[in-house]
Amino acid sequence: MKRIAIILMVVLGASLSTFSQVTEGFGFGAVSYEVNIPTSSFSSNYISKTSFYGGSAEGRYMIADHLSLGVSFSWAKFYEEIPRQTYQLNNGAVNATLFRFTRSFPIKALAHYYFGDSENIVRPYAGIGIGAVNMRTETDVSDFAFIDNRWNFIATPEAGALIGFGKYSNSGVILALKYNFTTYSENNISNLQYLGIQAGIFFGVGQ
Amino acid sequence: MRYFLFRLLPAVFLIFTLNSCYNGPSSDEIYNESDVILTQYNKSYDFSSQKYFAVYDKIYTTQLDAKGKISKDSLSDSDAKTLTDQIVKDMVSKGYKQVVKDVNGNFGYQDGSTFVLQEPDLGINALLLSNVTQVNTVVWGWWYDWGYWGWWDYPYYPYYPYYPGYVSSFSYTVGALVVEMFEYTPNATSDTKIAVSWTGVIRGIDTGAKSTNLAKGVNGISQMFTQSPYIQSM
Repeated sequence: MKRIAIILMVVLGASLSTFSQVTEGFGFGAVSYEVNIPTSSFSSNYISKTSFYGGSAEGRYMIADHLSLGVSFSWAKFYEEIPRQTYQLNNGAVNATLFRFTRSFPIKALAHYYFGDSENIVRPYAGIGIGAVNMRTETDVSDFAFIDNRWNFIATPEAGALIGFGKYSNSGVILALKYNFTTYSENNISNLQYLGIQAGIFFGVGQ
Repeated sequence: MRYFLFRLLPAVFLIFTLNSCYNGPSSDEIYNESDVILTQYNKSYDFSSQKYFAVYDKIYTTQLDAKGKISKDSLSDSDAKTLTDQIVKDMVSKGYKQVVKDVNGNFGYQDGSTFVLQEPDLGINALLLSNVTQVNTVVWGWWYDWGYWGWWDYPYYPYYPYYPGYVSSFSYTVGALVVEMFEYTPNATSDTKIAVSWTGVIRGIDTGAKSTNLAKGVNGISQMFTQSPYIQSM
Protein backbone atom coordinates (compact mmCIF):
# COMPACT_ATOMS: atom_id res chain seq x y z
CA MET A 1 0.00 0.00 0.00
CA LYS A 2 2.78 2.37 0.97
CA ARG A 3 4.64 1.51 -2.21
CA ILE A 4 1.56 2.37 -4.24
CA ALA A 5 1.31 5.63 -2.37
CA ILE A 6 4.93 6.45 -3.15
CA ILE A 7 4.46 5.60 -6.83
CA LEU A 8 1.36 7.76 -6.87
CA MET A 9 3.28 10.66 -5.39
CA VAL A 10 6.03 10.30 -7.94
CA VAL A 11 3.47 10.14 -10.71
CA LEU A 12 1.81 13.24 -9.42
CA GLY A 13 5.18 14.89 -9.23
CA ALA A 14 5.21 15.25 -5.52
CA SER A 15 8.52 14.30 -4.03
CA LEU A 16 8.82 13.30 -0.42
CA SER A 17 10.34 16.07 1.55
CA THR A 18 11.62 16.38 5.07
CA PHE A 19 10.66 20.00 5.51
CA SER A 20 7.97 20.90 7.94
CA GLN A 21 4.61 21.87 6.56
CA VAL A 22 2.22 24.73 6.71
CA THR A 23 3.75 27.13 9.16
CA GLU A 24 5.05 30.71 9.27
CA GLY A 25 7.37 31.50 6.39
CA PHE A 26 6.02 28.69 4.24
CA GLY A 27 4.92 29.56 0.74
CA PHE A 28 2.97 27.30 -1.52
CA GLY A 29 1.22 27.23 -4.80
CA ALA A 30 -1.78 25.19 -5.87
CA VAL A 31 -3.37 24.24 -9.16
CA SER A 32 -6.86 22.80 -9.04
CA TYR A 33 -9.72 21.48 -11.05
CA GLU A 34 -13.06 23.03 -10.20
CA VAL A 35 -16.66 21.98 -10.67
CA ASN A 36 -19.11 24.86 -10.41
CA ILE A 37 -22.83 24.73 -9.68
CA PRO A 38 -25.01 27.73 -10.57
CA THR A 39 -27.21 28.92 -7.71
CA SER A 40 -29.78 31.62 -7.02
CA SER A 41 -31.13 33.58 -10.02
CA PHE A 42 -28.19 32.48 -12.20
CA SER A 43 -29.56 28.95 -11.94
CA SER A 44 -33.26 29.79 -12.14
CA ASN A 45 -33.12 32.45 -14.88
CA TYR A 46 -30.11 31.71 -17.05
CA ILE A 47 -28.04 28.52 -16.73
CA SER A 48 -28.85 25.70 -14.35
CA LYS A 49 -26.40 23.12 -15.64
CA THR A 50 -23.32 22.30 -13.56
CA SER A 51 -20.04 23.32 -15.16
CA PHE A 52 -17.24 20.75 -15.38
CA TYR A 53 -15.05 23.27 -17.10
CA GLY A 54 -13.14 25.19 -14.48
CA GLY A 55 -9.90 25.50 -12.63
CA SER A 56 -7.70 27.73 -10.56
CA ALA A 57 -4.10 28.60 -9.84
CA GLU A 58 -3.15 30.29 -6.62
CA GLY A 59 -0.23 31.17 -4.41
CA ARG A 60 -0.29 31.61 -0.63
CA TYR A 61 2.29 32.74 1.90
CA MET A 62 2.04 32.04 5.64
CA ILE A 63 2.48 35.31 7.51
CA ALA A 64 1.85 33.50 10.81
CA ASP A 65 1.44 29.88 11.88
CA HIS A 66 -2.28 30.02 11.23
CA LEU A 67 -2.64 32.79 8.68
CA SER A 68 -1.85 33.12 4.97
CA LEU A 69 -2.25 35.81 2.33
CA GLY A 70 -2.31 35.10 -1.38
CA VAL A 71 -3.63 35.64 -4.86
CA SER A 72 -5.67 33.42 -7.13
CA PHE A 73 -6.71 33.25 -10.76
CA SER A 74 -9.57 31.01 -11.73
CA TRP A 75 -11.99 30.34 -14.55
CA ALA A 76 -15.31 28.66 -15.05
CA LYS A 77 -17.30 28.13 -18.21
CA PHE A 78 -21.02 27.41 -18.11
CA TYR A 79 -23.21 26.31 -20.96
CA GLU A 80 -26.82 25.30 -21.40
CA GLU A 81 -29.06 24.68 -24.37
CA ILE A 82 -32.61 25.86 -23.74
CA PRO A 83 -34.79 23.45 -25.75
CA ARG A 84 -36.92 24.83 -28.54
CA GLN A 85 -39.92 26.69 -27.20
CA THR A 86 -42.28 29.49 -28.11
CA TYR A 87 -41.93 32.98 -26.67
CA GLN A 88 -44.90 35.35 -26.92
CA LEU A 89 -44.42 38.80 -28.46
CA ASN A 90 -46.80 41.72 -28.42
CA ASN A 91 -48.03 41.03 -31.98
CA GLY A 92 -46.98 37.44 -32.42
CA ALA A 93 -44.60 34.76 -31.26
CA VAL A 94 -41.09 33.41 -31.76
CA ASN A 95 -40.14 29.75 -31.65
CA ALA A 96 -36.45 29.03 -31.19
CA THR A 97 -33.70 27.16 -29.40
CA LEU A 98 -31.43 29.27 -27.21
CA PHE A 99 -27.80 28.57 -26.45
CA ARG A 100 -26.47 30.26 -23.34
CA PHE A 101 -22.86 30.60 -22.29
CA THR A 102 -21.21 32.22 -19.29
CA ARG A 103 -17.51 32.57 -18.70
CA SER A 104 -16.27 33.75 -15.35
CA PHE A 105 -12.67 34.83 -14.80
CA PRO A 106 -11.99 36.04 -11.24
CA ILE A 107 -8.75 37.53 -9.96
CA LYS A 108 -8.71 37.65 -6.16
CA ALA A 109 -6.66 38.50 -3.11
CA LEU A 110 -6.87 35.71 -0.53
CA ALA A 111 -6.74 35.47 3.25
CA HIS A 112 -6.99 32.13 5.08
CA TYR A 113 -6.96 30.92 8.63
CA TYR A 114 -5.70 27.37 9.37
CA PHE A 115 -6.99 25.24 12.19
CA GLY A 116 -5.05 22.69 14.20
CA ASP A 117 -1.39 22.02 14.76
CA SER A 118 1.08 22.77 11.95
CA GLU A 119 2.43 19.21 12.32
CA ASN A 120 -0.92 17.74 11.35
CA ILE A 121 -1.18 16.09 7.96
CA VAL A 122 -4.67 17.50 7.51
CA ARG A 123 -4.98 21.27 7.93
CA PRO A 124 -8.56 22.52 7.65
CA TYR A 125 -8.89 26.16 6.78
CA ALA A 126 -11.46 28.86 6.17
CA GLY A 127 -10.98 32.09 4.32
CA ILE A 128 -12.15 34.57 1.76
CA GLY A 129 -11.13 35.78 -1.66
CA ILE A 130 -12.00 39.29 -2.75
CA GLY A 131 -11.36 40.86 -6.10
CA ALA A 132 -12.55 41.53 -9.63
CA VAL A 133 -14.26 39.17 -12.02
CA ASN A 134 -14.48 39.44 -15.77
CA MET A 135 -17.88 38.03 -16.64
CA ARG A 136 -18.99 37.28 -20.18
CA THR A 137 -22.44 36.01 -21.06
CA GLU A 138 -23.59 35.06 -24.53
CA THR A 139 -27.02 34.06 -25.76
CA ASP A 140 -27.16 32.60 -29.26
CA VAL A 141 -30.34 32.41 -31.30
CA SER A 142 -29.87 31.23 -34.86
CA ASP A 143 -26.91 33.30 -36.03
CA PHE A 144 -27.62 36.15 -33.63
CA ALA A 145 -25.30 36.39 -30.64
CA PHE A 146 -26.16 38.67 -27.74
CA ILE A 147 -22.93 39.19 -25.84
CA ASP A 148 -22.34 41.01 -22.59
CA ASN A 149 -18.85 41.40 -21.17
CA ARG A 150 -17.98 43.39 -18.05
CA TRP A 151 -15.95 43.58 -14.87
CA ASN A 152 -17.62 43.16 -11.51
CA PHE A 153 -16.80 42.69 -7.87
CA ILE A 154 -16.45 39.17 -6.49
CA ALA A 155 -16.27 37.83 -2.94
CA THR A 156 -15.66 34.14 -2.32
CA PRO A 157 -15.91 32.71 1.16
CA GLU A 158 -14.36 29.27 1.21
CA ALA A 159 -13.63 26.36 3.49
CA GLY A 160 -11.29 23.48 2.79
CA ALA A 161 -8.30 21.46 3.84
CA LEU A 162 -4.70 20.87 2.92
CA ILE A 163 -3.84 17.17 3.12
CA GLY A 164 -0.10 16.47 3.04
CA PHE A 165 1.27 13.50 1.15
CA GLY A 166 3.06 12.52 4.36
CA LYS A 167 3.85 13.80 7.80
CA TYR A 168 6.94 15.65 6.58
CA SER A 169 5.81 16.46 3.07
CA ASN A 170 5.35 20.02 1.94
CA SER A 171 3.10 18.93 -0.92
CA GLY A 172 -0.31 17.41 -0.94
CA VAL A 173 -3.90 17.59 -1.96
CA ILE A 174 -6.11 20.64 -1.57
CA LEU A 175 -9.87 20.27 -1.29
CA ALA A 176 -12.34 23.12 -0.81
CA LEU A 177 -15.85 24.43 -1.20
CA LYS A 178 -16.16 28.02 -2.42
CA TYR A 179 -19.18 30.21 -2.69
CA ASN A 180 -18.72 32.76 -5.47
CA PHE A 181 -20.76 35.91 -5.03
CA THR A 182 -20.49 38.49 -7.81
CA THR A 183 -22.25 41.77 -8.52
CA TYR A 184 -22.99 40.79 -12.13
CA SER A 185 -26.67 41.54 -12.75
CA GLU A 186 -27.70 41.24 -16.41
CA ASN A 187 -29.95 38.84 -18.36
CA ASN A 188 -32.44 38.59 -15.46
CA ILE A 189 -29.63 37.48 -13.17
CA SER A 190 -29.26 39.43 -9.97
CA ASN A 191 -25.82 39.08 -8.37
CA LEU A 192 -24.61 36.05 -10.27
CA GLN A 193 -23.57 33.30 -7.83
CA TYR A 194 -22.22 29.78 -8.02
CA LEU A 195 -20.87 27.13 -5.71
CA GLY A 196 -17.43 25.76 -6.56
CA ILE A 197 -15.92 22.43 -5.59
CA GLN A 198 -12.14 22.54 -5.75
CA ALA A 199 -9.73 19.59 -5.91
CA GLY A 200 -6.06 20.06 -6.65
CA ILE A 201 -2.43 19.73 -5.72
CA PHE A 202 -0.46 22.10 -3.51
CA PHE A 203 3.30 22.25 -3.43
CA GLY A 204 5.76 24.10 -1.24
CA VAL A 205 7.88 26.76 -2.88
CA GLY A 206 11.22 28.18 -1.81
CA GLN A 207 12.14 25.94 1.08
CA MET B 1 12.71 25.72 -9.05
CA ARG B 2 13.33 22.40 -10.75
CA TYR B 3 11.25 20.63 -8.12
CA PHE B 4 8.61 23.26 -8.40
CA LEU B 5 8.12 22.62 -12.12
CA PHE B 6 8.36 18.88 -11.61
CA ARG B 7 5.43 19.03 -9.23
CA LEU B 8 3.44 21.59 -11.14
CA LEU B 9 3.42 20.02 -14.59
CA PRO B 10 1.40 16.86 -13.87
CA ALA B 11 -1.20 18.86 -12.00
CA VAL B 12 -1.53 21.31 -14.88
CA PHE B 13 -1.77 18.37 -17.25
CA LEU B 14 -4.51 16.87 -15.11
CA ILE B 15 -6.54 20.07 -15.12
CA PHE B 16 -6.29 20.47 -18.86
CA THR B 17 -7.37 16.87 -19.32
CA LEU B 18 -10.41 17.35 -17.14
CA ASN B 19 -11.22 20.64 -18.83
CA SER B 20 -11.16 18.99 -22.22
CA CYS B 21 -14.34 17.21 -21.18
CA TYR B 22 -16.17 20.45 -21.88
CA ASN B 23 -19.38 19.54 -23.63
CA GLY B 24 -20.49 22.67 -25.41
CA PRO B 25 -22.59 22.45 -28.54
CA SER B 26 -20.99 21.34 -31.79
CA SER B 27 -21.43 23.54 -34.84
CA ASP B 28 -23.71 20.85 -36.30
CA GLU B 29 -25.94 21.02 -33.25
CA ILE B 30 -26.18 24.80 -33.51
CA TYR B 31 -26.88 24.53 -37.22
CA ASN B 32 -29.68 22.02 -36.78
CA GLU B 33 -31.25 24.17 -34.10
CA SER B 34 -30.55 27.46 -35.82
CA ASP B 35 -33.93 28.05 -37.39
CA VAL B 36 -36.18 30.55 -35.75
CA ILE B 37 -39.90 30.67 -36.47
CA LEU B 38 -41.37 34.12 -36.14
CA THR B 39 -45.03 35.04 -36.58
CA GLN B 40 -46.59 38.47 -36.41
CA TYR B 41 -50.16 39.53 -36.99
CA ASN B 42 -52.57 42.42 -37.07
CA LYS B 43 -54.35 42.24 -33.72
CA SER B 44 -57.43 44.07 -34.95
CA TYR B 45 -58.01 41.69 -37.86
CA ASP B 46 -60.86 39.24 -37.39
CA PHE B 47 -59.51 35.86 -38.48
CA SER B 48 -62.46 33.94 -37.09
CA SER B 49 -65.11 35.33 -39.46
CA GLN B 50 -63.18 34.31 -42.60
CA LYS B 51 -63.94 31.05 -44.33
CA TYR B 52 -62.28 30.58 -47.74
CA PHE B 53 -58.61 30.78 -48.59
CA ALA B 54 -56.41 30.34 -51.65
CA VAL B 55 -52.68 29.62 -51.80
CA TYR B 56 -50.55 30.79 -54.70
CA ASP B 57 -48.87 27.60 -55.87
CA LYS B 58 -45.67 29.23 -57.09
CA ILE B 59 -42.86 29.99 -54.62
CA TYR B 60 -40.37 32.54 -55.85
CA THR B 61 -36.82 32.49 -54.62
CA THR B 62 -34.67 35.56 -54.53
CA GLN B 63 -31.02 36.30 -54.20
CA LEU B 64 -29.26 39.44 -53.20
CA ASP B 65 -25.87 39.92 -54.79
CA ALA B 66 -22.99 41.81 -53.19
CA LYS B 67 -24.33 45.08 -54.56
CA GLY B 68 -27.73 44.44 -53.01
CA LYS B 69 -29.33 43.75 -56.37
CA ILE B 70 -32.22 41.31 -56.36
CA SER B 71 -32.54 38.46 -58.80
CA LYS B 72 -35.54 36.18 -59.03
CA ASP B 73 -36.07 32.47 -59.61
CA SER B 74 -38.63 29.95 -58.40
CA LEU B 75 -38.75 26.63 -56.62
CA SER B 76 -39.52 23.51 -58.67
CA ASP B 77 -43.23 22.71 -58.81
CA SER B 78 -42.79 19.60 -56.65
CA ASP B 79 -40.83 21.45 -53.94
CA ALA B 80 -43.34 24.29 -53.96
CA LYS B 81 -46.16 21.77 -53.69
CA THR B 82 -44.53 20.10 -50.66
CA LEU B 83 -44.55 23.45 -48.86
CA THR B 84 -47.93 24.78 -50.02
CA ASP B 85 -49.54 21.41 -49.20
CA GLN B 86 -48.48 21.94 -45.59
CA ILE B 87 -50.03 25.43 -45.60
CA VAL B 88 -53.29 23.97 -46.94
CA LYS B 89 -53.23 21.16 -44.39
CA ASP B 90 -52.79 23.59 -41.49
CA MET B 91 -55.45 26.00 -42.76
CA VAL B 92 -57.95 23.17 -43.22
CA SER B 93 -57.23 21.88 -39.71
CA LYS B 94 -58.13 25.35 -38.45
CA GLY B 95 -61.53 25.22 -40.06
CA TYR B 96 -60.93 27.09 -43.33
CA LYS B 97 -61.89 25.83 -46.77
CA GLN B 98 -59.57 25.94 -49.73
CA VAL B 99 -60.58 27.44 -53.06
CA VAL B 100 -58.56 26.91 -56.23
CA LYS B 101 -58.60 28.29 -59.73
CA ASP B 102 -60.33 26.38 -62.48
CA VAL B 103 -59.19 26.31 -66.12
CA ASN B 104 -61.04 29.57 -66.77
CA GLY B 105 -59.17 31.31 -63.95
CA ASN B 106 -62.16 31.47 -61.64
CA PHE B 107 -61.86 30.78 -57.93
CA GLY B 108 -64.03 28.04 -56.51
CA TYR B 109 -64.14 24.58 -55.04
CA GLN B 110 -65.22 21.20 -56.26
CA ASP B 111 -68.46 19.89 -54.79
CA GLY B 112 -69.10 16.45 -56.21
CA SER B 113 -69.15 16.93 -59.96
CA THR B 114 -69.84 20.66 -59.88
CA PHE B 115 -67.33 23.46 -59.49
CA VAL B 116 -68.84 26.02 -57.10
CA LEU B 117 -67.60 29.52 -57.77
CA GLN B 118 -66.32 31.15 -54.62
CA GLU B 119 -63.82 33.93 -54.11
CA PRO B 120 -61.36 33.54 -51.24
CA ASP B 121 -61.48 35.68 -48.11
CA LEU B 122 -57.79 35.14 -47.53
CA GLY B 123 -54.89 34.91 -49.94
CA ILE B 124 -51.61 33.27 -49.00
CA ASN B 125 -48.22 33.77 -50.67
CA ALA B 126 -44.90 32.15 -49.85
CA LEU B 127 -41.44 33.32 -50.84
CA LEU B 128 -37.95 32.01 -50.24
CA LEU B 129 -35.15 34.49 -49.64
CA SER B 130 -31.95 32.60 -50.28
CA ASN B 131 -28.21 33.05 -50.44
CA VAL B 132 -28.33 36.45 -48.91
CA THR B 133 -24.69 37.43 -48.98
CA GLN B 134 -24.69 40.45 -46.75
CA VAL B 135 -26.57 41.87 -43.85
CA ASN B 136 -29.54 43.62 -45.34
CA THR B 137 -32.51 45.26 -43.85
CA VAL B 138 -35.33 44.31 -46.11
CA VAL B 139 -38.49 46.33 -45.93
CA TRP B 140 -41.52 44.12 -46.05
CA GLY B 141 -43.30 44.10 -49.33
CA TRP B 142 -40.29 44.96 -51.49
CA TRP B 143 -40.84 41.79 -53.49
CA TYR B 144 -44.35 42.67 -54.55
CA ASP B 145 -43.27 44.66 -57.57
CA TRP B 146 -42.88 41.71 -59.90
CA GLY B 147 -46.40 41.21 -61.07
CA TYR B 148 -46.84 38.77 -58.21
CA TRP B 149 -50.38 39.98 -58.05
CA GLY B 150 -51.33 38.94 -61.54
CA TRP B 151 -52.39 35.56 -60.27
CA TRP B 152 -54.68 37.24 -57.80
CA ASP B 153 -56.51 39.05 -60.61
CA TYR B 154 -55.03 42.41 -59.74
CA PRO B 155 -54.20 43.31 -63.31
CA TYR B 156 -52.18 46.45 -62.96
CA TYR B 157 -49.47 48.00 -60.83
CA PRO B 158 -49.31 49.34 -58.23
CA TYR B 159 -50.92 47.10 -55.75
CA TYR B 160 -48.76 46.76 -52.75
CA PRO B 161 -49.19 45.31 -49.32
CA TYR B 162 -49.10 47.14 -46.06
CA TYR B 163 -48.80 45.89 -42.53
CA PRO B 164 -51.23 47.73 -40.28
CA GLY B 165 -48.88 48.80 -37.55
CA TYR B 166 -47.30 45.51 -36.68
CA VAL B 167 -44.25 44.91 -38.85
CA SER B 168 -41.67 47.33 -40.14
CA SER B 169 -38.49 45.62 -41.19
CA PHE B 170 -36.46 42.51 -40.71
CA SER B 171 -32.81 41.82 -41.22
CA TYR B 172 -31.72 38.65 -43.00
CA THR B 173 -28.27 37.21 -42.85
CA VAL B 174 -29.37 33.70 -43.70
CA GLY B 175 -32.14 32.32 -45.88
CA ALA B 176 -35.73 32.70 -44.86
CA LEU B 177 -39.06 31.32 -45.94
CA VAL B 178 -41.73 33.99 -45.71
CA VAL B 179 -45.45 33.15 -45.67
CA GLU B 180 -47.97 35.98 -45.80
CA MET B 181 -51.71 35.98 -45.41
CA PHE B 182 -53.63 38.95 -46.73
CA GLU B 183 -57.17 40.09 -47.16
CA TYR B 184 -58.34 39.16 -50.65
CA THR B 185 -59.57 42.40 -52.13
CA PRO B 186 -61.56 42.02 -55.37
CA ASN B 187 -62.44 45.01 -57.48
CA ALA B 188 -59.30 46.80 -56.36
CA THR B 189 -58.52 50.16 -57.84
CA SER B 190 -55.08 51.60 -58.43
CA ASP B 191 -55.23 53.19 -54.97
CA THR B 192 -55.90 49.92 -53.19
CA LYS B 193 -53.39 48.71 -50.68
CA ILE B 194 -53.49 45.05 -49.72
CA ALA B 195 -53.61 44.61 -45.96
CA VAL B 196 -51.35 41.79 -44.83
CA SER B 197 -52.93 40.29 -41.73
CA TRP B 198 -50.36 37.71 -40.81
CA THR B 199 -46.72 37.02 -41.56
CA GLY B 200 -44.71 33.92 -40.75
CA VAL B 201 -40.96 33.61 -41.21
CA ILE B 202 -38.68 30.60 -40.93
CA ARG B 203 -35.29 32.12 -40.52
CA GLY B 204 -32.22 29.96 -41.18
CA ILE B 205 -33.77 27.68 -43.74
CA ASP B 206 -31.32 28.04 -46.58
CA THR B 207 -28.06 26.97 -44.99
CA GLY B 208 -28.11 23.23 -45.60
CA ALA B 209 -28.96 20.44 -48.01
CA LYS B 210 -32.15 20.71 -50.05
CA SER B 211 -33.88 17.78 -48.36
CA THR B 212 -33.10 19.24 -44.93
CA ASN B 213 -34.47 22.58 -46.05
CA LEU B 214 -37.71 21.07 -47.28
CA ALA B 215 -38.15 19.20 -43.99
CA LYS B 216 -37.38 22.37 -42.06
CA GLY B 217 -39.86 24.23 -44.25
CA VAL B 218 -42.66 21.72 -43.63
CA ASN B 219 -42.02 21.58 -39.88
CA GLY B 220 -41.60 25.34 -39.71
CA ILE B 221 -44.89 26.04 -41.49
CA SER B 222 -46.64 23.69 -39.11
CA GLN B 223 -45.04 25.50 -36.16
CA MET B 224 -46.14 28.89 -37.59
CA PHE B 225 -49.76 27.82 -37.36
CA THR B 226 -49.33 26.11 -34.00
CA GLN B 227 -48.04 29.31 -32.44
CA SER B 228 -50.87 31.36 -34.03
CA PRO B 229 -53.99 30.11 -32.21
CA TYR B 230 -55.96 33.22 -33.26
CA ILE B 231 -56.06 31.82 -36.83
CA GLN B 232 -59.22 29.80 -36.39
CA SER B 233 -62.37 29.91 -38.48
CA MET B 234 -65.66 29.81 -36.58
